Amino acid sequence: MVCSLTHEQACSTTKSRIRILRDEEFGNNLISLCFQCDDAHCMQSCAYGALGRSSETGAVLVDDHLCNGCEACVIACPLGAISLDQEKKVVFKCDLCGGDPECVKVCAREALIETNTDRASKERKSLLTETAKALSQRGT
Amino acid sequence: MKGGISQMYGWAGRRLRVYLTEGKIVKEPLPGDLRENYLGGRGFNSKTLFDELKPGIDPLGPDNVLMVAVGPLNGTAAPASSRWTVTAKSALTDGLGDGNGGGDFATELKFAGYDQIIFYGRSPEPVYLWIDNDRVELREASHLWGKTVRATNNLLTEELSDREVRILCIGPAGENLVRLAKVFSNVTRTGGKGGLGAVMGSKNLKAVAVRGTGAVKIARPAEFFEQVKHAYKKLSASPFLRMFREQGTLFLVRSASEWHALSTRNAQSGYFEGWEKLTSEAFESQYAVKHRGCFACPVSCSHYYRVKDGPYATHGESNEYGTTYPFASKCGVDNLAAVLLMNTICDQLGLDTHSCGNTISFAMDCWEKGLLTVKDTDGLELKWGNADAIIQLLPKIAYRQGFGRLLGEGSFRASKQIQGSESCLRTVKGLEVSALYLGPVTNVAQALAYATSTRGADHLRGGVMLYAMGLPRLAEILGSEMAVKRMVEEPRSIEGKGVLVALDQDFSAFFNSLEVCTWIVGQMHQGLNPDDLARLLTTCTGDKMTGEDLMKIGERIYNVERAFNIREGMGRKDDTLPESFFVEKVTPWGPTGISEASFQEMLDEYYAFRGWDENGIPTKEKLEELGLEDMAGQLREAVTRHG
Repeated sequence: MVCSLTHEQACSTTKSRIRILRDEEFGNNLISLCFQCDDAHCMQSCAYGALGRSSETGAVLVDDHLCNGCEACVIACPLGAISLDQEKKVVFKCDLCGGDPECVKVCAREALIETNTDRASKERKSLLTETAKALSQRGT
Repeated sequence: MKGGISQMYGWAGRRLRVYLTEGKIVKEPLPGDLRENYLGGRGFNSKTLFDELKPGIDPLGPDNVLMVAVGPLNGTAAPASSRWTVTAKSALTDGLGDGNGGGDFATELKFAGYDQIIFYGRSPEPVYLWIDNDRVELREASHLWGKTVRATNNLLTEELSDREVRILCIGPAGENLVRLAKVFSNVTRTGGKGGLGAVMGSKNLKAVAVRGTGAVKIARPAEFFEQVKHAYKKLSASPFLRMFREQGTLFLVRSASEWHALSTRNAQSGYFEGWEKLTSEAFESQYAVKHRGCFACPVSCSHYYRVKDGPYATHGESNEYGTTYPFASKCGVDNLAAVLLMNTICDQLGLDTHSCGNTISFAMDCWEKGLLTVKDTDGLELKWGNADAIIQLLPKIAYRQGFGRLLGEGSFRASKQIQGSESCLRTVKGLEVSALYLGPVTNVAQALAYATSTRGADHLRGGVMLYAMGLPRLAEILGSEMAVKRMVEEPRSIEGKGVLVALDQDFSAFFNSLEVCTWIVGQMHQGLNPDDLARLLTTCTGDKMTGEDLMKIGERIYNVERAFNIREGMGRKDDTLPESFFVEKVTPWGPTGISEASFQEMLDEYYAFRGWDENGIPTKEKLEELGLEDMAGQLREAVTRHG
């Protein structure tokens, strides 16, 4: 909720960059959140050059002016971490809040941890993977 | 389809009226009076119930009105803002009936763009309500009729081809008009004590399925976020948070045993010798799988469990104190695996574990006293501790078969059919007494809270969360720190308890209306207090509110609920306790029970502080103070009618 609050000034699961699919029977919830992959399928799939990597945070960012909402990246993403904004007709995804993720500040269970955001990307990626794993194991 | 984008901050700003008899659905704007004076959830429903229900109707007939409502903080980042309230005239108490549940049904309803749904009449065929943002329709549900709660959820999710649909439904018990049936969301989250599942069943309404892709607008997003962070920080610093997370409500088994307040064998004593087999430690080491939280919750108190093998093999969610004590200590069962199986059965059949366990405990007491024999009970031996008999009895209750038909009416009605069983009854206003036995260190305020609760004996409407408001505020009201100290440290002294219970009830009335969870406020004075909640609300909705304003709203809601019950014929005579509470005993651990005279004295103090007359009727001055003067006429009429 904090995610959509920060980015859209309104609270909405549909507009959150973190999506959670609940499993009611056993509690094995599925969490989808961008890993900011090194070999980013989304960037490669974009015919408009709307996706690019930030040199500061290493996050893959969407340029709203270039995106035409074709959703090729939505399909390309193996994690389901990109969604289409039905009103603006452009895609949105986690941008690491410019290097200071707001979600981390309210995660009471410490399932989300802020990791090293310089470009030591291997370390970053493995930590993010671990974080996501921890998240999906614990559920939220 | 575009989601319900609210034009309002906090609230969605719309409500639904569903006329089941005619199959008609009306959308209308949310009245400003409700928003300003009743906040949301419980407040909305209680006011609507008073306004729209004819007095004296049959709760299971078509004239009853069933409502589900949410509050302004639902669907926002505010911690534990996940609750919904279901309200109707209760099938057990014939007074106000409501219940509060968690999960994420409430948030989804907000995202679809609605604050309240009101159901009228009775559908000719089984139906369910499908809300897909702006599209709302009644759909045929004969294929769901008779299905368990889990099966209903699975079938609907498949039918609507969306795993993110949130479902509120009843199980077979509700369909069969069993007065112990509840309403379920997220499969195992329940609300609606007092037979609201049966009310839903009587309307031929199997489920409400919601999908919302809209958003809740925030008036001052940056400031709101600061308040959210402050709230999370405060909660994370609370020593109770970790305990609640690790143990859920089960921590109470140990605490209650240490206080000698674990209701045992139909509340004959407060000490159960097998309690160590039921604690959260025992549960955690043998059966717990993982915990899970409701929407936006920092606590995650709900536990998944699995009993791998043996006669009681099962899996499910939410093993609570409210499951454990009624089926375990209260029925003399010390086998935790059996209790977990009973919980699963109740969850699937749509039964309330509290009332169901307490009713069975009543039946066992009758059996032990020789008032029931195998001839009455279809051959079941209802000895203390006979877990297998309970497990066989549960489906009989849900499907109204044999002896189960009688128990499905609840202990209050059942006792009228069992001669000489009045002394085994443990009900207030027809609802079974929950949670704590009045042991030597149980605060007597709890007894007063049971007696004066608007939905019948209840631990969640004041009492257990004593001092939750924070000691400084209480001291302010009472004038001195000493008065507070006496209240806290002398649990058996009756002085000041009326004030304490009244304040606590007002507090619960408004946070239930904000639809935030008990856990984040009920942490003694370590949780969020009225001022914290007021700041969250102000930044969310843009309307300035203070903690004082919220307490006033709480008081208004409580008075409306009281007025509803008075109109239904209740009064001072109903603000009483089961006779076993008035039996004073000296146990090795200290005195228990409370004398009737002391209780009446507490009640007088309570009425006086509330601004009610000696019969418990709100005075004209009080009603005017709360802006409820138009209720005065109806109350006068009701008092004359019922004597």
